[in-house]
Order: sequence, then C-alpha cells, then structure tokens
Amino acid sequence: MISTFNVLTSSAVQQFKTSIGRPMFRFCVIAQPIIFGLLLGMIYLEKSSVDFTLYAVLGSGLSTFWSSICFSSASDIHRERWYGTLETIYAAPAGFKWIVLGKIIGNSIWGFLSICLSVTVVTLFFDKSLVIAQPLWLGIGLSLMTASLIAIGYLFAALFTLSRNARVMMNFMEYPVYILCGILFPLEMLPKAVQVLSYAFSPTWAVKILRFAVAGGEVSQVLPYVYGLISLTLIYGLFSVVMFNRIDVKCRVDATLEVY
Amino acid sequence: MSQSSTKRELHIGKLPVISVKDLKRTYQTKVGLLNQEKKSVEALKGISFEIYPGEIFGLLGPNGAGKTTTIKILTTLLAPTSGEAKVFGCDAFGEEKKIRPRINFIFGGERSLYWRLSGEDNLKYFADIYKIPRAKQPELLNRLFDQVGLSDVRKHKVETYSKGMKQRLQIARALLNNPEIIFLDEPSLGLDPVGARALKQMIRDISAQGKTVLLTTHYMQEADELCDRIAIISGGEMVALDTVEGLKSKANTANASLEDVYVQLVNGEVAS
Repeated sequence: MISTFNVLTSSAVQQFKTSIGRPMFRFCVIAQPIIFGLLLGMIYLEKSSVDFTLYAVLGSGLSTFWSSICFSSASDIHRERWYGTLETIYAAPAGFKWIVLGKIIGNSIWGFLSICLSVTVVTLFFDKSLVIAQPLWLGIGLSLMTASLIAIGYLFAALFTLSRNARVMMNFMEYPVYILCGILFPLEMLPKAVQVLSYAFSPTWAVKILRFAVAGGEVSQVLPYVYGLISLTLIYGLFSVVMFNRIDVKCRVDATLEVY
Repeated sequence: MSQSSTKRELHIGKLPVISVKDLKRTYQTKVGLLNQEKKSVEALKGISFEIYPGEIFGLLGPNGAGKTTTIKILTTLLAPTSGEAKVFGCDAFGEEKKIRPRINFIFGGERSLYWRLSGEDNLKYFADIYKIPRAKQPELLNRLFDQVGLSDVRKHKVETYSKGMKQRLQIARALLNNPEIIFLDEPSLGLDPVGARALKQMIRDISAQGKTVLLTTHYMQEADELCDRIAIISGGEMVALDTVEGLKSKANTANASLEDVYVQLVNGEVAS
C-alpha cells in the first residue's frame, strides 16, 4: 500500500517536473491561459457578470486544462515511447497502470494551476466584478471536473499504449470539445442534435455545475449534473481499468511498446 | 552444432536461468495507404539456446537478425508467436510478474532516461517504481553513483551528460533492483574507445558479482573479450552457438579472429 502510494506520488512529481520542461506544455499551461483569458475577457466584457465569470474566467482555465490533457496526459505515452522509457516503466514491478495514473495526476496539477492563472490574469486585467453565488459548489464542481479529466487522461493513455495512431485522434479532439461542451459559449447555442452528443463528454456536465456555482439556484437543479458527471467519470475509469488489463497482453502481442 | 566440451562442463549440474526452445516471432505490418495489405515479417524462425547462472552470453548477428526481438521476449516486453521462452523457469509471457523484479535491461544508446531530470532524480524515480524502500535508497544511490563514476554530476540534468555518462547512468539504473540477470542490447553503441573500455569493465564487474549477462553487440572485439559463450543468429535462425574459441575453430582460415568466423558463418561460407 505504502509502495503504491510512493509510486503514485513519485510518478506525479516526476511528470510535474518533466512536463514543465517541455516548451509546448509550458505554452499550454502558462501562455495559453493568459492569451485565452485576455481574448475571452475582451469578448465577454460587455456581457453579464455571470457570463464573464463563467466563460472568460473559468472557460479560459477549463479550455487550457483540456489542452493540457490532450497534449500531455494522453500523448505522454507516445513521448515515453520515443524517450525509450515506456518499456522501462511498463516492465517495472510497481505496475504500469499505477505509474501512468501518477503521471496523469502530475499533469492535472499543472492543468488545475492553469485555471488559477487564468482567474488571476482576467481578474487583474479587466475591471469587472466576478460573481460566485455558491462558492462551495465552485469547489465541488472544480474537484469533480479535475477527477473527471484525470479519468479521461487515463483512458486516452490506455488507448495510446495500445495504438500508435491514437495521437491523430487526440489532436482532432482538442477544439471540438471546447465547442461541444459549452466551455467557451453556452451549449444552448448549438443545434439540439449536437447537444445530445455533448453529454457524452464529462466537461459538459462540469460546466453545468460551474454555471450553477456562478449563477446560483436551487440545489435540486444541479444534482442531476453532479450525478451525471460522477457516473461518466466512473464509466471512463472503469473502461480505463478494462483497457489497462487488456494492455498487458495486447501491446506485447502487437508490439506497440516500441518505436520502429 | 556442437559446443566445445570445456565450457559445457562448467554448466554440469546447473539449471539454466534462461531457456529458449524453438522460439518464433512474426510481426504483422500493413503496406500501402488506401488498400492496406497485411504483410508478415518472420523475425525469429525457431531458435533454441540455454544460458547458465553467472555467464556472459553474447548474442551476435547482422541488423534485423532477431537479437533485439529475442531480448524483448525474454524481458517480458514482447509476446512470442510460438515456442518457449523461460526465465528462472517461468514463462516470459504469462508469468512475467515473477520475472520482472529479478531482471533488468538496457536497450542501446542514450535512451530510457528522462533527460530533463537530473541523474539523481532519474535514479530516485526508477528506485520507487522498482519498489525499493525509500529508507534504503540514499545509501543505494550513493553506492551506484560511485560505482559508475557519476557522483560529482548526479545533480546535473541528464541532457548535459555525454553519451558515455548517459550510458553509465543506464547501468546504474539497471542495477537498482540488484537483478540476477541483466540484458544489454548494444550497450556500447556510439561510445568512444575510453567510454567503451569503461563499459566493458563495468560488465566484467557485474559478472564478477555473480550476475548473468545477456549481451548483444556488433563489436566483435567486445564480444571476444567479454563473452563466455556466443550465439550467432542470422535471418531469425541460429547459425552457431559455442565458446569464443569453439567458434574460432570453425573458421576455414588459420588464426581466424571472431570477426572472420562471424562473417564466414553469416555468409554461409563455413558449416555451423
């Protein structure tokens, strides 16, 4: 138990240090929240304080968190493959699934910090008051969203271990999720048929909880979104565990651990 | 294929730590963009050999011969298509959890390290994922850094290391879990003569500690100096397996070097 905890913390710290050494990741978690925060701040400056808080402040942070998932948690497996470290961590007695989970937690800490950065930048730069009607629900929403993004990163890491072509899919996923999940503008602006698809992605449910935290309302209104987000996170997590169990055999049969 | 009797006698009464029987591995690849055609590449066509405790065993062969495939199967990183690959009597595909804590490996060149971390951070991390208790790590790391001569640069980032230093750090990494078998796949690749000599000494030191070493290399001099026995494979098939002297005696020229007999065997100029 202690050694598994050591593996999780050690992998998180290792990833925390390694990721920030990469220029692309630095752009994702430092430059992008600042740029997105400023752009969205200007776009939503004339809108209501609720919209400004939700889309300019939280939306810019959430979008950069998602980008960090796309360009790190998922594609780190591909990077480990090129470093030649994938085989080493795969064969380590600690267990590949724990090592990968630790790395994704490490990246997610950066993703969460990018939200803090965008909040700080937008608050300092724009003379506009922020509205948080339910601070407790903001904390709950952000915590559940972080857990859910860790689960998504874990799932994509599993896919990346099995397939060397998953990177293409991940690059393709970055921008559609901003739009589909209502991160940058209200989901209701999308056609109904597309909105159905949106609910397959957990950020959609997280944004609904954040909207409640910002705008307020009856708790009964937000509970379905909380249950939905928790359910989707559990489904992602369960699917990841199944995938990681399959990985142990399949990646050795298909020889996907190596670069050739 | 006969082995020289003197070396074989050394193994009498010992059980092999590695046993490979009729091992085959086929890779499936796809060719073409639109109408993709599946193509099979037979990397190993049924090789057999045994390695005994404490041996330095060389696996030689041209590029694409199947050396790395063999090592990857034995290090539990690749599944065989058929045949048997056992390490400590355990199946490398199916009983890997029993094998992994007792082995370690280095795959050529400078890879398998986190270049943006310091040497010390690398070893600490690998020690954690090899489940080495944290209380034991400081002493272990001090000893390993001393052993590979990197104590003075242990806090420097790996990206500032020379190729030889990275290779020595890899050796330290591979020794973290005190493995009984170390697999070295072209460890001297790209090293200068000084670095290569230091590496050879390290391999001798590892062997002197009673560990078994499986080594692949393209440098015949290195294999000649280090290996107790050598298997030569070509095109996925075993061409010869013997001691260095046994192999040299197969040459069709007098005073042949290992390189001479290697070339003759791979080109089919002499019988195995």
